[in-house]
Amino acid sequence: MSAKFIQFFDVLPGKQGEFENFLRKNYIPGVDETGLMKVVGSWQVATGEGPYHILESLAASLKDIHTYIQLDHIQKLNHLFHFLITNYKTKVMAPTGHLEASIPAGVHYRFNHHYDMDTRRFEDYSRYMRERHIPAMEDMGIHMIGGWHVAVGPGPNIVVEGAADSVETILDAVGSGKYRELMDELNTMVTKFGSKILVPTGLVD
Amino acid sequence: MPVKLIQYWNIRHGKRDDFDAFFTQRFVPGVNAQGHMQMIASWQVASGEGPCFIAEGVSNSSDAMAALVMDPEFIVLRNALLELVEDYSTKLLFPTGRIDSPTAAIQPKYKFNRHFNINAEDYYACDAFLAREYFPMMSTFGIDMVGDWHVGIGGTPYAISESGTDDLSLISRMLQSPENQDLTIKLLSMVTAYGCKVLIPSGHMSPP
Repeated sequence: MSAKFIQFFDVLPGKQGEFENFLRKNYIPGVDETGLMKVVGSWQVATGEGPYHILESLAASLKDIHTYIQLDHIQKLNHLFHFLITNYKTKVMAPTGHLEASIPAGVHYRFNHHYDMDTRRFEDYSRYMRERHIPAMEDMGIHMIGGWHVAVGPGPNIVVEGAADSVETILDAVGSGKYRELMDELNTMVTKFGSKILVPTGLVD
Repeated sequence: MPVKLIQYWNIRHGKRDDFDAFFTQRFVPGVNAQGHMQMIASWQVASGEGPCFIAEGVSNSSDAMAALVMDPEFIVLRNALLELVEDYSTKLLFPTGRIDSPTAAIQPKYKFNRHFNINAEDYYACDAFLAREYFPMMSTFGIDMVGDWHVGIGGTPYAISESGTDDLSLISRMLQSPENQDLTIKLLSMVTAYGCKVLIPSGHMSPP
């Protein structure tokens, strides 16, 4: 079972250049060297609330993330990282089981939904995801690449990730009647719904 | 001076049909008939944080808006609305004066709004940045600035910069461009609590 570690932050004013150098030359190689986790994405929030930067890492298990967090080397890297950033927060996420997690190859753009699910409607939600949401989003050109629940960290508690080859594909979808019907149905089963469009920063290959 | 009242909410589970009928047949005509405020648009948040439904109304003065919120007929309408929606909140917006703010029902088909708090020590630098760099850059993307407001009453973030277009693909291109990323990073050096939303018509009011 894979697990995902998400870091959110804003870069301190005047530190953007130093931040980019540090991330490229020290932080990302340092994380990858541990062999416990790999940085798979660096994103800017194009629409949605801040923090503005998101760093996305994958591990084989929650246990690997817990081991990783406690490494001396990582604690030192994080200490240096905090000289460059503010509004830092993290989430550890585990798969919901509704989707096979994958990372698309090449440049792509993310469209993520986040919300709290009404647990009394778990069966309805699962059926909706399987029969309605995933096929419809795929039809609209948004590949569904992950369904996660927040194992540790701030809510909302469910994150569903989509990927597309352009922001235009995403906005064409969200402007459609088909998407509105999906959201009307989804919103009968969830609360605190929000979404984000993420664009790559170019800092991760 | 034009002022804008933003009302936002989520529709309660199972109340969608009742809400659609109430909002179009009673709420919007009822508010407009009172004469204090003109409802100009209703939006669905296509991307960004909730609440997911936003209704906008404009008045020519804050006195007219004060008369609206104290009007017993409006209070009855709002109480009826609250039976169908949750997470209801409002903001009263005043123009910053950086751009002309529309008072009439001239609205773009799609909106891209940024909201933030300007750091006190960066206020004048941000003011200059918005006027000299941000607004012209949005114009180069083909996106019009349709409002620039500060929140007079209501929760922060207190600065709201509204842009819009009738062509959604222009917003897509802007969001994907390195120029927008650079512009946003520069803005972020002067503000906190930054966020942005793409709004599409909710379908409850006549398209602009």
